[in-house]
Amino acid sequence: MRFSLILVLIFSVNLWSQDLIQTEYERQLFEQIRCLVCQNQSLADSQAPLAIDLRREVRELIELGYSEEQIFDYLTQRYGDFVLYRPRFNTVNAILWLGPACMLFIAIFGFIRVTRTKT
Amino acid sequence: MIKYFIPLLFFVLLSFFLYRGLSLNPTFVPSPFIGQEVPIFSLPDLLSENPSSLISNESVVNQTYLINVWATWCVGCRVEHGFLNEISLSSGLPILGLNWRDERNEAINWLETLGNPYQFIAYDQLGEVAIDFGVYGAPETFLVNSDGIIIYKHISPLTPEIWQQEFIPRIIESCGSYPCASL
Repeated sequence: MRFSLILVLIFSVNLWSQDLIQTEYERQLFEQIRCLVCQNQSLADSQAPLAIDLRREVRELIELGYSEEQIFDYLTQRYGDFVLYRPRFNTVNAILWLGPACMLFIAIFGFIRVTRTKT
Repeated sequence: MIKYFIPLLFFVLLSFFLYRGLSLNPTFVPSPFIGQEVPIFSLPDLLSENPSSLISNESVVNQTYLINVWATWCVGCRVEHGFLNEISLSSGLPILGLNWRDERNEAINWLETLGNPYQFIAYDQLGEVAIDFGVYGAPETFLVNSDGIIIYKHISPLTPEIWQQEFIPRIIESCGSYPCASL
């Protein structure tokens, strides 16, 4: 009984391993790419068929010698900025990056003004 | 005096964004392909036994046409199939089918039972060309003008309403009339 359980475990690991993430580089890359089918999962987590295809595609690009930037370019050309979890800094996305800092700045400024006039 | 209105202003602004957020569709991904050329592709013909018989951009040159991404595992494709059959007869546009991650036999069976609205069907068994088209959920329908530029993309089943609202005006723009008079 115990032996067959162990067998099952070993076998199930082997089933997954065809598509398992093989290197640390792959993992950190996949974690930055969104699976568009299940949008709150990254390519590293998702078992959606499209994610499997995209992992294969990205692996091929790595083998072709594409840099991280080039791979992200390749994907955004096809799926738009949304495919990246960390939006790139461009004119459209600037508000995403600068917005919170601006808000904090305004808040600090307001806070200082209010507290100063009271004392 | 004005400073007392600042919080109110913030509140109104925040409410506006939150309210707007209620009606946004988070699964809608704007396609970077609108206004771009159709990606170059070349795939086996689904309906041909001969592996050297290919469907590519060359199959549809100098005409306005539709590209429809479908598969037999896709429920939405079954929903829209009847309407696609209708369009193929009434719109004057050729429809290029992109059969995505499917079993060839099942796909052929499907066409035999439900009818075949497609002029050409490219068989993308591995989903490689689908990635080049930025496909992430079937059914997807692209409208391509005679210069080979994608002018519209619709994700989810086609309906007469969407066809009327989004496609027909663009087809008229591209062809000069609806139904499109082919060259």
